Amino acid sequence: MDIRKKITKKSYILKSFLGLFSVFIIWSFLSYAEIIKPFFLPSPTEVIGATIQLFVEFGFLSDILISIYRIAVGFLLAIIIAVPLGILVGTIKSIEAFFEPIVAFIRYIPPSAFVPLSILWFGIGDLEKFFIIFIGVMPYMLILTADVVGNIKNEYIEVGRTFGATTVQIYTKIIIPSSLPGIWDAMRLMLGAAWTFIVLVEIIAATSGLGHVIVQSQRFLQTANVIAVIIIIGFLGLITDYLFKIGHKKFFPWSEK
Amino acid sequence: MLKIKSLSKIYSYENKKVEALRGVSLEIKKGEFVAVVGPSGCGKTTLLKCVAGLLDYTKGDIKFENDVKKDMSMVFQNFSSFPWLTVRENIEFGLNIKKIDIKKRNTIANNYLSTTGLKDYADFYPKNLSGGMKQRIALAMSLAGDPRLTLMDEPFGALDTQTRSLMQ
Repeated sequence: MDIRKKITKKSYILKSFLGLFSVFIIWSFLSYAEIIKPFFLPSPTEVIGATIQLFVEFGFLSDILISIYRIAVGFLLAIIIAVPLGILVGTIKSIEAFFEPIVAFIRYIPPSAFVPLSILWFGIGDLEKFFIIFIGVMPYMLILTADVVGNIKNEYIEVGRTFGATTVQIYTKIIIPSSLPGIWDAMRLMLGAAWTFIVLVEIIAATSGLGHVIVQSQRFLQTANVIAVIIIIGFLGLITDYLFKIGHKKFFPWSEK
Repeated sequence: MLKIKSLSKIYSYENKKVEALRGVSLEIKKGEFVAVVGPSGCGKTTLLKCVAGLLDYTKGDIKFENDVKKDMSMVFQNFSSFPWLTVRENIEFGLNIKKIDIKKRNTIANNYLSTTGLKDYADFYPKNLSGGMKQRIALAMSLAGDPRLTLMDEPFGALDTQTRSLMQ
């Protein structure tokens, strides 16, 4: 295995499927052989049955859509604030000095610690979910954006200056386009975290959504349902991650990555 | 066209001070080709960056005649092109900044694409080009605006001997 040696796309996809398939094989072996009791680890057949039942009888699709909606709104709000602010923090030292302690302070508080407060402020509706995703994503997204912008080659800005570019032109024609792939990757990373936050907040207090289905299933000891939801969350994450990967190639064909 | 008088530049790193330039005086007239030669670390880049207005100098004076300051370009040691722009967009970058109309911009870019031998690569991104080709973009970028003063900081320093001779 050579370090950083490229492999063909076909081989990459094959190995990816092999990775997923190996997990499936281990799960099948442990459950069908009843090495772990079905109550704790239901078999793939049971989980497939539970998934169908969730979709057909319990309106699971609406729970999926509501969780996606909550993530989309909370995540977008975080991006709208964090990206422009991160660009300024990464380029202007006085703005960095102003925001750094505030962001560092929030960053070290787990979003789950804000849940009781957010229920008090916003109730258990969608607003509370938006808030938790916002508070969980925004500080990290800001820091990651500032870091990407801070790593732009100084030569790019100097070249812009020698051509007589104004400060606005340096931002619009150099800083923003050169940092977009890095910001895109940071968004991809943070979207994964947003999924964690939404499930967490829906487990604690919600009347709908994927987290709510997990809690309800656990209360009625429906382990197969819990696993079905977990697998669906995993697949949704996989799909969004893949879409971000395709987006990177489509929007930034110039990127070395 | 350009007069540099007793130019000094001292860099301060924490408590240390490094004198990069000491009393440099120089006069460059229109049409002159001046090469500054010296070992690495002797202050050539510092001098050029001071002239380009990218660095503040500690002492001395730099005077430009007839607004030359607004009409100069620089080719950098460690920069060849913007990776997010195609070869054509790179060449047009300075013209775009100066808001020159698109027709004129295209004509100038076509001209420099031909003279630098990059016509067939106009829509390529720099990542798909060789080091020598990228340096040709840098040259075309700096010359496209027809500047009255061009500053070049070892533009072919990173190239192999054969490509460097070809470019010179």
